[in-house]
Amino acid sequence: MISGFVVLFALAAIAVVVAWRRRDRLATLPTVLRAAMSRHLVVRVVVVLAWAWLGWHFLARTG
Amino acid sequence: MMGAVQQRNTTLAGALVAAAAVGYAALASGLTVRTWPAEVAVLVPAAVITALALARPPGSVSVAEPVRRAAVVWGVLVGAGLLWEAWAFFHQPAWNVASITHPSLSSLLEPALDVRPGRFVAWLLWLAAGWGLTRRSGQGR
Repeated sequence: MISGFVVLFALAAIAVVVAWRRRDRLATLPTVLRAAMSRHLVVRVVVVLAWAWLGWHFLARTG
Repeated sequence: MMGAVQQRNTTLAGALVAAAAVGYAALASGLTVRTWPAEVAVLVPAAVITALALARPPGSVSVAEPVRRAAVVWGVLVGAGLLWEAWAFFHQPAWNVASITHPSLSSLLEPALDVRPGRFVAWLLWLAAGWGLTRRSGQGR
């Protein structure tokens, strides 16, 4: 049942391509994250902790 | 004139950070996972980048319509991804035993992270993402 991940990654790839080609319609993910992190401290903490956890999980504990 | 000098310094600083990240990723990707050196190798940049990201003062960036739209799109995608991951995780035979029929993202990525080139790329991506989190809105991409 990897079909769910395949579909989600395909949709994410489409969103990335659309954002790069039509920035007037859809902002890129880094732009969204920076805007949210600039406005709300809670978002900043959550995003940074999520990033740190991803590193811990995939780089120190997986493999 | 000042603008050109500042631009050159920014480019130089960026190149130095990139070179340091590549060197760090090359070293860290050679460490054995599930050992304290690998854990320390993650904790050091995590602590530095967390401090940098949290230290800067909050801004008041105006949010344009494309940003709102993208926030909804990515919110739905990430939310669906988390739900799918949770569903796969809870269908595993045990919390530390991967399921063949319902693999989690971790178990799907494990073969790539088992080999050093894969870990090197993962390290580079993680460090680049972390560096991106320290940038202010409007700085670079």
